[in-house]
Amino acid sequence: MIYSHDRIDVLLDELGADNGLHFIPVLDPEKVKKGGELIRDGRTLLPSGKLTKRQSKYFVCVDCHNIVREDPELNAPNPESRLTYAIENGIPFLQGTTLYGVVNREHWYNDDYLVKYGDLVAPARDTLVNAIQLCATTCSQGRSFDDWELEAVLHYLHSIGLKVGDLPLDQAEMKKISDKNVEDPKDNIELIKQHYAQVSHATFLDPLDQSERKYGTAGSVENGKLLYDNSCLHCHRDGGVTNFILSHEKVDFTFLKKHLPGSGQKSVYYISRKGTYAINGYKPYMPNYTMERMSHQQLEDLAAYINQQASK
Amino acid sequence: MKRTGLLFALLLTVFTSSGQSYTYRTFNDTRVINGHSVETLAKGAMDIRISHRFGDLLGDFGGTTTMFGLDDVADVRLAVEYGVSNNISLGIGRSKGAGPYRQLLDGFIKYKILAQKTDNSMPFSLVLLGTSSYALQEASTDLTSPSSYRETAHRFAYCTSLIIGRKFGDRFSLQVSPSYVHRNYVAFDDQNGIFSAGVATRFKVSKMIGIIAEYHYLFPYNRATNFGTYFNPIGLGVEFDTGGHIFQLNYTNSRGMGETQFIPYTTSDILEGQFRLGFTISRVFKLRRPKESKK
Repeated sequence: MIYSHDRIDVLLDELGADNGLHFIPVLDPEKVKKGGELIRDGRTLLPSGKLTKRQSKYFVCVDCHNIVREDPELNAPNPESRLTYAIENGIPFLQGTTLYGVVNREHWYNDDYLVKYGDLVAPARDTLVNAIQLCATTCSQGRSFDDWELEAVLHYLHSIGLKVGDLPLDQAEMKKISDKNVEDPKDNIELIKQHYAQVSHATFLDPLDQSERKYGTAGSVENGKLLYDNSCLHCHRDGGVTNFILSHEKVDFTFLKKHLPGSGQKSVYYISRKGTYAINGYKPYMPNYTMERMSHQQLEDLAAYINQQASK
Repeated sequence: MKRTGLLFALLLTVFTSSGQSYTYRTFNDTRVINGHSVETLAKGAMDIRISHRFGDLLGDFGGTTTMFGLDDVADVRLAVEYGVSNNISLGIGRSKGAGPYRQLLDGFIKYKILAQKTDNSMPFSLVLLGTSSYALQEASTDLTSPSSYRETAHRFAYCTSLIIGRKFGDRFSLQVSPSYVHRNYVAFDDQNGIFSAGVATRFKVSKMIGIIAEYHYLFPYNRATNFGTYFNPIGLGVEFDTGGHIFQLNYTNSRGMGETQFIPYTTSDILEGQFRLGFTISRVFKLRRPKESKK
């Protein structure tokens, strides 16, 4: 019998699938707890009761990644449906893919991440442990996880792996994958995997050329507000991770509107696609939005909202 | 005693328990020009501050002889301040001093009792400020001098201020700050305690630029001692918020910085051209992650 809370990776393991080197069949609740603290807070308690050194002084994982499901269609994720889902579920709309189900993927730092990180992505593409350490040291500008921390993080990530209930399996499919005496388990493996993406694609886009920008004339103000509140303000709110603070005040929208046509970091069109880099003396930076994480149309929606608020 | 405890608990509750959102940045900085604003540092934020006041722009000690004050240093203050919580800030600073007391070490504690809310259920912010300065300079051998420091306590001066501020719309902020300054030891023709009523404002021209102004009316008005006549401190400036740094350029008639200095010891008469260029650079470092950003 299969239940909706059953782990997909365990089910696949039973069918003989290769879950990768990171696979952990049985989770230790204490490690799950500590791993969760490392992901959410960047530190946890040592057995002595002392706090560990912060993994990064600048970021924690949840600054860029959700830890809950963020896509309604797991096999065809796209930014439009993700925004709707994010609003319905009260979660931010971020640059990084969700860590929910990250253990069920087979490749990380895909596609154009090679452009940004070069050879650094080679060991990370096929090995989750290496991907986590790359994220820890380069993306969050912090230290590597110690072995025991890494183990705890893996336990936590497995605890937020995909469950049977996440997949839109119909009755016949449920019956088929429940059949322990199936002739060819490969069929069941394929059946399960067709319901979720094993790779999170990343396509880096250049900022729209000034002549192609519609400056919000073809955008949805309503969507733009959702993006501003759930994406921009996630980091740029007062008390957020960055020193460049944005709010709902008209002066902020006037500033953003004024710089929309630009081709520098003050332009929303530009900064969203290019992000910024960590520099000596100021390591926090803004990751770019890939095509899969924010569409050109969504940028137009954002521009429409900025225009509307600046013209109030 | 019981009533005091209850009042304190009530004040704490007023600020910390509500889930409603607070007004965003009534002022950009924790200072307007010389005096404190209603802003406190966020929990875990460390503010490194460098303030400088040049010499008189015009008047007897200004003009071309001092390159309009640039060749003169009225005062310099270096300080580090820290947000213990979102409503309590502490700070220490070191300055040259501009009155009879010199080589100053100062400190303050600032408590935001009430914070203005966006829905106007709390229409203003209320801050209680306590500052103190200690003069490190060698005692004068002239035992009639206020800096003869015959006892350690003579080196101390204190100020208590209540700052009430409100942000009107997105651009305009105003605060008033009644203060009491007490100096433990003063010249024979001066008085230990001085009341003042301050008013300060900011007009946000754009996201990054604001015009700031500050004025303190002293009671008694224009008191005169053998150090001269004391004037009401006044200042006008412009501030630039670059995201992390606040740069402030100002013109003010006060030479000293900090409430125990600029309130009792402003001897410059702005009508005689005795005002000076000054600047402050503030850089905030986030030593702790803000709790509310965690998911």
